[in-house]
Amino acid sequence: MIQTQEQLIENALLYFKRGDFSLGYRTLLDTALNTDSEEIFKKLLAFIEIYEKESSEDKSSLLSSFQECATEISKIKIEPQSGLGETILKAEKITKNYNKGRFILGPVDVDLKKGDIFGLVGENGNGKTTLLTVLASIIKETSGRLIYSFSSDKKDSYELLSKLVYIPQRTAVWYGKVLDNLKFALVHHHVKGEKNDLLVLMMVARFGLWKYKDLKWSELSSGYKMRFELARTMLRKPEIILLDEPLANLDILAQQIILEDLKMMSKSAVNPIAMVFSSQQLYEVEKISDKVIYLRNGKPSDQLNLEEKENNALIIELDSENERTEIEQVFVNNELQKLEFNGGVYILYFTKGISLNDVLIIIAKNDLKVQYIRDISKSTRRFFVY
Amino acid sequence: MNFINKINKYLLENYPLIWNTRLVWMLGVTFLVHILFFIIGYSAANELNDLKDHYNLSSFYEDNAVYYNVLISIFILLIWIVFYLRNNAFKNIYQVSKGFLFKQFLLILIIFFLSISQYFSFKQGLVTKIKSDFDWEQIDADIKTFNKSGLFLVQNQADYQITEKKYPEPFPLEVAYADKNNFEDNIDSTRAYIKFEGSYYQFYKINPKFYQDKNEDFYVDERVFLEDVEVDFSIRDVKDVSAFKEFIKPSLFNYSKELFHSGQDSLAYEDQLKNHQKILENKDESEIKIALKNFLELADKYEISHNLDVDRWFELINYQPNYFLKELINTSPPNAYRTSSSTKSRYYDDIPFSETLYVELKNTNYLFSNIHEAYFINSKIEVLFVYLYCAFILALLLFIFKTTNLKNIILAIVASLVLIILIVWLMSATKNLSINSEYRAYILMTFMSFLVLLISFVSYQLYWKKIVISISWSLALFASPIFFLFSCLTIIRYLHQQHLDLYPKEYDYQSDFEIWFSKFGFWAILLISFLTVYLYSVYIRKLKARPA
Repeated sequence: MIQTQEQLIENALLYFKRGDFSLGYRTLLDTALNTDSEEIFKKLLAFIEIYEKESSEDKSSLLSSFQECATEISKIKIEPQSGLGETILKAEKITKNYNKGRFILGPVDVDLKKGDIFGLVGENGNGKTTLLTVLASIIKETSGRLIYSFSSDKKDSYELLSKLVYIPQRTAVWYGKVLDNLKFALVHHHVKGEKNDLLVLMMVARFGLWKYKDLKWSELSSGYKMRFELARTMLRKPEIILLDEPLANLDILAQQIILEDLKMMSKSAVNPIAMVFSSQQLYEVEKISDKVIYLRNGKPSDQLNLEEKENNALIIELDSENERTEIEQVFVNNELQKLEFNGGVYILYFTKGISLNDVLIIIAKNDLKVQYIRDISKSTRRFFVY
Repeated sequence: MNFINKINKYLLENYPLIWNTRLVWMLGVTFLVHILFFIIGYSAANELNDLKDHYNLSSFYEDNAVYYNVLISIFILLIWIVFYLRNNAFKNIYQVSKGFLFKQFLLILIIFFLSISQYFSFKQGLVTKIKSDFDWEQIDADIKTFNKSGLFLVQNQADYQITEKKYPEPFPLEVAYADKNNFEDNIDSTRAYIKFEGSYYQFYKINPKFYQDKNEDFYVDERVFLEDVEVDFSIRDVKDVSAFKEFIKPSLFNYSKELFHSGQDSLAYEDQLKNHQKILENKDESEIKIALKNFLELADKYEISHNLDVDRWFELINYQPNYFLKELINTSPPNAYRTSSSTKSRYYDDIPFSETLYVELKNTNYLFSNIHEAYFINSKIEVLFVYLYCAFILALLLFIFKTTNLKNIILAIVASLVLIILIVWLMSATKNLSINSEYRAYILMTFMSFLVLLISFVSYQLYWKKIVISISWSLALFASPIFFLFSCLTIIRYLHQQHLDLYPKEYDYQSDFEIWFSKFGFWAILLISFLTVYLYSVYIRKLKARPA
C-alpha cells in the first residue's frame, strides 16, 4: 500500500511519540527526501546532528525539534507519482539453458509494476540468481521476451540500463571513504555542488550510516555494507532494483531493518520502485512481498501444480516436545491427512474445513507441549519438504 | 590537508571526472617534477667541459638524468594509478554521457605524457643556461676565427693530401694512382696524367652521364673502383693539373677542412678556402703569426689544452714556398703515452709527430654544436613523436583496463602473442613467393591487422561472446593504426615499384603520396589512433549494456 506524503508525516510523528524512535526518524527522513528541497535538507541535517549525538535510548526529549521538522516538511507540496501501478518489467515465458540443457530455468512470466515487491525463494541451485540476472539484463535469456518500460525517454541502451540496479549477493568492493563513493555515485546522476553534499548526508543518515560516514568502506561490517549499498542504490534513483540474497550474513535485527527499508523504498510516494529480491528467510520475505515466486528445478510454483495438489486445505508447521505417535493420536480423529517430520519440525496436512483455531483448541485440550506453531497453508514454506 | 580536502570535495561534487583522474594533483606534481628537471638541465652545463661531453644536447640520455626520470615517472604513475582505479563510474553503470569515456582517455593521455616527458624540461633548462652563458654572434665569430687558423693545426696528415684539395678550380678532383706495375690498369695513358717521384697520377671528375649508364644497379665509390681489375676509363673526365704537381706531397695548400662546422654555411666555407689560399700565397709571416696568435687566445678561452706558442708553432709550419708538412702536432700530450694517430696517406710516406708539441681539441666541436643547437634547433619533432606515442600506448593500456577487466587484458596479451607468432610463421612460410621481402612484410602486416579489425566488427555484429568481442576490440585499438601505417607503406612501395618499372634508374623517386606520408604520416597515424579510441569508447558503452 503506497502512502501519501501527509500519511507518512503523520506516521512519523505517531511512531516517534509512542517511542518507536528509529522508525519515526527514518520515516521522517523519507518524507524529507521526498521534498527534494535543499532548505529542508539543511534543516533536517541540523536535527540529524542532534539526534545522532543523543546517546540515550529514550529520545522523547527531541520531540519538539522532530515536530518542527515535520511541520516544515508538510509545508512543501508533493505531487504524487504518475504512472503508479504501470508495468515496468514484463518477462514473457523466459527460459535460460545451462550446461547444454542440463539445467533449464523457466519458462517464467513476471509482471512487475512500480511499487511492487516480489520475493524469490527456493532451495539452493534452483535458478534464483539466474532469474535475477536475466531480469537485470546481465545474461541473455535463451528464449522468451523481456520488456522494460522505463519512464525515461532515453533510447541509449546504456542509459536505460542505468535505471536498473542489480545488487549481487557478494557486493562489489569499494575503495576509499564511504562518503566519497556515495558522492561519486550521485554526481554522475546529475546532482552537483552543495545539493550533492546535502543529499548524500541525508541518505547516509536515512540508512543508519551517520556514525560511519567518515570511515573507509573496508572498515564497515557486512550489515553496514548492505546499508551502504542501499544508500548508493537510492541515490541513483533507479526504477527497478533486483537484489540477490540481501539478507545473507545479516543478524536478525539487521535483516528486519533492511526489509523494512526495502518496503519503504519500494512504496515511496514520490519515487516508487519495482523490486525483486531473493532470500532464504521465507517468512520475512512473505511478510513484505506482494508476490512470492517459488522456484524448484528452475520452474516457478504455478507450473508445478503444487497448489492444486493441496486443494487449499490447512497445513501447519509445528514444533513440539511430544512424540510423533502422541501427535498422531491427538489429530488422527481430526481430519489429519498426513504428518511429516523434517528438519526437526512437524508438517501437518489437514482435510478441507478445519481451521487454525480448531487446531489450537485441540492442542489446548490435549495439553500438547507446543514451542512453535505456524499456519503455512499460503506460505511457500510448504514447498520446502523432502 | 584541509586545503587539499576542500579542493577534493569541490571537484568530487562538481567535476567527478577531474576528481577521479586526480588531474589537478597530477598537473601540480608533474609541474613540480618538470621544474626540478628544468633545474637539473640548467645545472648540467656549469662548466665548459660539461658541454664538450655530449653531442646535440644529448646529456639527458648519457648522464643519469634519464634514470631519475624513469624512476620518478614510475613512482608517480604507480601511486596515481592506485588512486585512479579506485572509482569507476562506467563499470558501475552510472549515468555517464557518450563522450565521457573519450574525455577520460584524453585526460589520462595528458597525465601520462606529462609524467614521462621531463626530457623537454631538462632540455629547456639546458638551453636556457647555454643561452645565458653564450652569445651566438660571439661564438660564430670565434668559430670563424678558429676555422681561419685551422689549416695550421697540422694534426692529421690525411687532411693535407691532394685528394682533399677543394680550391681553386678545377679542384676537387678524383685521383687514380699507379706505380709501374699497374700503370695500364689504372691510368688512361691516352689522356693527361702526371708522373711524380716514380708514381703515376691521373686527376679527373666523374662524368655523370657515362657514370649512370655504366652503373645501373648500385652506386660505386670511385676509389673502390680503382682496386678493381677492370677500370672503365670512359667515366673519367680527365683534368690536366700539372701546375699543382708539387702538391701531391702533403701541403698546407691542400687543406680544405672546416675545423668547426656548427652554424657555418657554404659562403663562410668559400671565404675560408679563399682566405687560406690568399694567406699562403702572400707568404706574409706576420699575418700567419696573427692567425696563430688568435687561435691560441681562443684555445685558452675555450679551455683547449696545448703547449704551443706562436713562435714554435710558426717554426713548425713555415716551410715556404709550398708549405709542405714536416712534422705533425700531437692531439694529446705526447709524454704521457703516445696516442696521437693520423690517418695514413695512400700516396705519400708518413710524416712524424712532434716530440713535444700538442693541442688537445678533444670534443670542442661538441661544445659549439650544443650552443648552435640551443640557439637554432630547439626541439626535434621526432622526439616529440616518440614521447607522444609512448604516452598514447600507456594511456591506451590503462584505458582498456578501466573499461574492461584484468581477464580481458591478460587474454588480449595472449592473443597478441599468438598473432605475433602467426605473423612470424607466415613471414617465413611465404619466403619462397616471388615478392621482395620488404613488400611481403608490408602486405602481411596490412592483411593481419585488417583481419583483427574484421573480427572485431563481425564479432559485435554477430553477437559473439562478450569476452571475445572485448578482446578483439582491445587488439583492434592497436591494429587500426598498424593497418593504416602498413597500408600506406604498401602503397608507397607499390608506387615506387611502378615508377621503377617505367624509369629503372630513378631509385630516389618519391611519389606525391610518399612525400605526403613522410610529412604528415605521423599525425595521420595519431589521428587514426584517436579516432579508433573514440569509436571504441562509443561502442564499449553499448557492449556494456548488452546481456552476456
